[in-house]
Amino acid sequence: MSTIPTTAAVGADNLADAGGRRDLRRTLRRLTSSPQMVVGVIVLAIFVIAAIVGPIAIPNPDALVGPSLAPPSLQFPLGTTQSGQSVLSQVIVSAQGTLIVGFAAGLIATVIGLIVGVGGAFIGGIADDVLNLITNVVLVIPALPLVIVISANLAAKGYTTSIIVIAVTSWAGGARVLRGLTLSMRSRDYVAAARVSGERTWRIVVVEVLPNLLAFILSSFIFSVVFAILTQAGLAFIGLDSPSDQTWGNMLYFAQNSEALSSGAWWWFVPPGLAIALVGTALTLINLGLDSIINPKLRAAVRTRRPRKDAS
Amino acid sequence: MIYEPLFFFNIAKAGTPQPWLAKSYAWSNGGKTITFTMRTNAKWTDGQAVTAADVAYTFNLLKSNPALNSAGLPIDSASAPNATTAVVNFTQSSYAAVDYIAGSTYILPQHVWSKISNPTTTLNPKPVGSGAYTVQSVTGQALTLKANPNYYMAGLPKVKSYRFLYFNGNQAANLAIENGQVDWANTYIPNIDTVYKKKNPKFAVSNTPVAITSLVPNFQDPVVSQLPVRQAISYALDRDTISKTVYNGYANPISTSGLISPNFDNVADPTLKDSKFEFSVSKAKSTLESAGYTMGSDGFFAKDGKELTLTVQVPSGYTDYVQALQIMVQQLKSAGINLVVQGESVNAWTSAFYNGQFQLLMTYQGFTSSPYVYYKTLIGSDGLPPIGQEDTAGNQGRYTNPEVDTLLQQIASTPDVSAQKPSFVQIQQIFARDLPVIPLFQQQNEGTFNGNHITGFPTPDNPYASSGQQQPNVGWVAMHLTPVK
Amino acid sequence: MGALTLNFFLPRLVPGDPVSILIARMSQNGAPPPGERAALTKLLGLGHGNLFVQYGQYLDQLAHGNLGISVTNFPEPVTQVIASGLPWTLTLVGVSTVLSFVIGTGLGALAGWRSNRFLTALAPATTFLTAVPYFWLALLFLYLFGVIWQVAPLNGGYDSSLIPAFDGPFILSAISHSIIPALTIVLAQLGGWMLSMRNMTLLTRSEDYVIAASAKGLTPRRILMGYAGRNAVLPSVTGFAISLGFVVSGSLIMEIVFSYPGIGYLLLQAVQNSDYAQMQGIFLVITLAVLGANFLVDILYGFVDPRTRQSA
Repeated sequence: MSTIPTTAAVGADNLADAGGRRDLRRTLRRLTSSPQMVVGVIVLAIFVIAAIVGPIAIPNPDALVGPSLAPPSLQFPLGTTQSGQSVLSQVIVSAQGTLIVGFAAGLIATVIGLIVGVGGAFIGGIADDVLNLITNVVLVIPALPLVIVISANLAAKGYTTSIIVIAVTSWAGGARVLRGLTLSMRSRDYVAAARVSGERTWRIVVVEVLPNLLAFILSSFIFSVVFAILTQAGLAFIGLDSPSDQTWGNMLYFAQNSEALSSGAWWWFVPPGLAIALVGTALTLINLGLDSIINPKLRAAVRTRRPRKDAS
Repeated sequence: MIYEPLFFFNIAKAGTPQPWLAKSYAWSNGGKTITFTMRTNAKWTDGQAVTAADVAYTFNLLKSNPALNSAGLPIDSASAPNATTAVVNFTQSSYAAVDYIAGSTYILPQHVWSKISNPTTTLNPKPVGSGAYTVQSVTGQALTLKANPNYYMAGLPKVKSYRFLYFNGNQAANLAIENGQVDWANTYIPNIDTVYKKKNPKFAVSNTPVAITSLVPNFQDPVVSQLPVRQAISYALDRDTISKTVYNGYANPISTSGLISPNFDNVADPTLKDSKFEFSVSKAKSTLESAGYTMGSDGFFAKDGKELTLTVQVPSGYTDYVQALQIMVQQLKSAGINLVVQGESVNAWTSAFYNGQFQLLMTYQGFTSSPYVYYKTLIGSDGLPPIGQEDTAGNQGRYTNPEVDTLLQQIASTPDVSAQKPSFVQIQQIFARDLPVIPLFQQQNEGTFNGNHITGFPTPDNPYASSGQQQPNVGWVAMHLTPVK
Repeated sequence: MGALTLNFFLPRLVPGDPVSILIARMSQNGAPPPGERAALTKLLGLGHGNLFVQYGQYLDQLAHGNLGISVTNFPEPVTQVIASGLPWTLTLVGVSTVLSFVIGTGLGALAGWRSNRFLTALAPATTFLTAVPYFWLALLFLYLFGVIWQVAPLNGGYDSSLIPAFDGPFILSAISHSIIPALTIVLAQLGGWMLSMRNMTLLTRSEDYVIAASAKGLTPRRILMGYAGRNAVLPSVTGFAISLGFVVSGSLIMEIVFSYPGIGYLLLQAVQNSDYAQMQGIFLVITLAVLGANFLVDILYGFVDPRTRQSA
């Protein structure tokens, strides 16, 4: 949770490098030349496919198909749960719920952050002060306890509750970063030029500012998604999520509450956690790849490594 | 364990209450007066004798402090004509409240409590009690009690000290139990045979059911208020499989009378005592068909164009219930009934339960030594707040049957079990016929005892008390346990 | 002031009241007797006056250092309840946060400064650790160390047979109970610090003054320690100060998993019991901690890098 501000802090100094109009093809080449990016995208793609195809291929992952707590076998590659459900089926189908919650909450949080951060910075004046105050208040209140207070008292019905609760409590970090970036961008020559030439504010924001912030917005979005997935898992673990939702967090909750580990049924407890970790790692790798695109120096430094080593 | 009631009422097996601070009691004045005869050898831990005056003081304290009178006893007056006789008068006949009066009213020392100005909020770090144990130390993680050397019951208590541990949750507690660090516990442990019992030959699981687990239908709902729908649900459920899968078989079958056994065997209808709920998918289907339901193409029954979809509410935190319900979803599906499980926070669920905002709800009821209180809270409709108002008194499904209410009144009008029994039998027959709630099984109530250290705990064969740790049961069991040398 | 107000209203925004919760809990052991509700309401002193009257009372009490009476631990005052949990959280989480910061930042600086196969391999591993759900890792550790190998205690902050005191056996017991929880926190946080420091070091390396220094023949070690490191560590210091503020609240799940007697558990308890006073008190402590940490950031920044004294 403490890693969120990092990228932005790194990026702020190097806005100019990312700010220029970029050549799309060069960007693509850069993207594919980052091994982190490639690995991240491939892993993520596998899970996205599972999320789309899984629920169609396995319409009833809760079906009681085997004996209670059967170890992994050819028939059940990841064994069965206490009720005799296939763990593999549940892992595959749960990809959908987990990714929906993660991406939807991440998207909403980013959009709120964008509106509050960029909007506030551009409008300025009292509106900015108020929005900034709200941001700071939300930042000060620790997210997880707040989420717990809210969800403990909402009737959890489906994913919507989790999505909204997580989004509403996690947008502030992104908003603060984007506000800082926008403020510094506002004073750039080309923005000033656009203002002088009488362009409307919303147009300046959409045409001049947003494209240049795109990489940061994307990076902030990805962090929000990772945060949302982990928060959902945490909520489910404390038992504050709707148990009928198919998510990895809920799988862990049931496995844990049935004492899967104590019963020796590691195959029930380990896979959902690994799945979360893999998706999180994939997203983080993509972000690292993005980093090296936003900050060419990160790459340049890597390339100059060898001669320096010779010198020492 | 520090303070004691006058009698011990066994919630695992109803019958004659055991003398605790008092030796005997007698009703008079049509149930408006109860007279207790006290022991003569009981002493407070500061050496003073426990007398009838303390009993009178306690009941008068309840009367003048409604905040302490949690049972809402209609106390009129209390007095102590002599040191061993205490008389309590009520404003109305109170036969049926004897559990509360004698079994869960803790007698307080007058000479200590009369000096406390505000008895409701005063912390009492060194309590003077009459119990078999006194407080030795309190820390953030444990409460340690040590045996009272001058206890009045001969030879008791046998265990020299108890340490009660605090845990942040079931998991943490269960881990400690499974590793033999806890000698007596009363939590829900999944896979208890694998994770506990098999670990050590002396680890014992003592299951003494004291409650019923059921699906409560809301009689304000147009669908589940129909008997055929409730019957179909009941037929479609394979209760044994659920008990085996979720509870290692420790959730015992319940008879169709809804009566917990052996607890209330003394009032059981012999024709229903050994009855079992039938599991038959075909009967579930035929019941629905004869009620006008037709099977749709999606495999679910429907009537008047409305699919038979039922929503059951459960607290997400009750994982054993959620698991049981997940299995029920699959079982009902084979009978053409679409069950939807709606998990929610305990707060939301409690509110829905008390306010009657549910269609079906999974819960448990019981924890009483009185079959009258049991049926009254389960299906009695007399004296409930009007519909729409919060109902914490029981029968939240609002099953209404004047016949049941009349029978319950007849039972409450006499303290004599043999006179009560015909009414109890009739209630059981109505229950079996009407399915006012859909019983699932007797709620498992597993006490885990580490036989390497203690013995003499309640068992299903010797249910002298519940193996659970609810007050005052915990005190009674604690002083009867024996350490293993 | 805004935070104080929020602390008051936030817990009350949620439905459910302490009396219902207590009744519900009692009903688990049999139907509560008929007069119970009225009795409890009187006992807890609830239901006097409307929300604003209560708010006035709250502010008045607060001014006198009185946080009210805990419902959960009735009738102990909230200040006392918090005082009993705070030292545990502060010590364990505080020490782990410092450790993970020091180790992570150190490794990050090394990884950014020199090309080393071991350190390069470490980066993806820490990425993975950052993306793992914390409780999953903690439970696996608990199971492995506590149950399988039996080298660590299972739960609690100290051996329950001891009475808290500043003596040898108690302190030893407290330390042995803290090792596994601390290890899991350090592992979970390490990755973030390492990545951020690595990136900053890479960026700093390409700064003119570093290149100049290296051209002048200064040893890489001297440059790192004397010049580059100090600049590179700046953003991490900010992050560190902020995370210190979240020490109080960030350990909630750890405390649940390890049954650790700290603040996080008290908060969960308060939420489960709709215990307004205890919730308010804990949120107040958390808010103060975060505000204090933000204050610390400002001071630290002024010291370490006078350039940043501009308003953002």
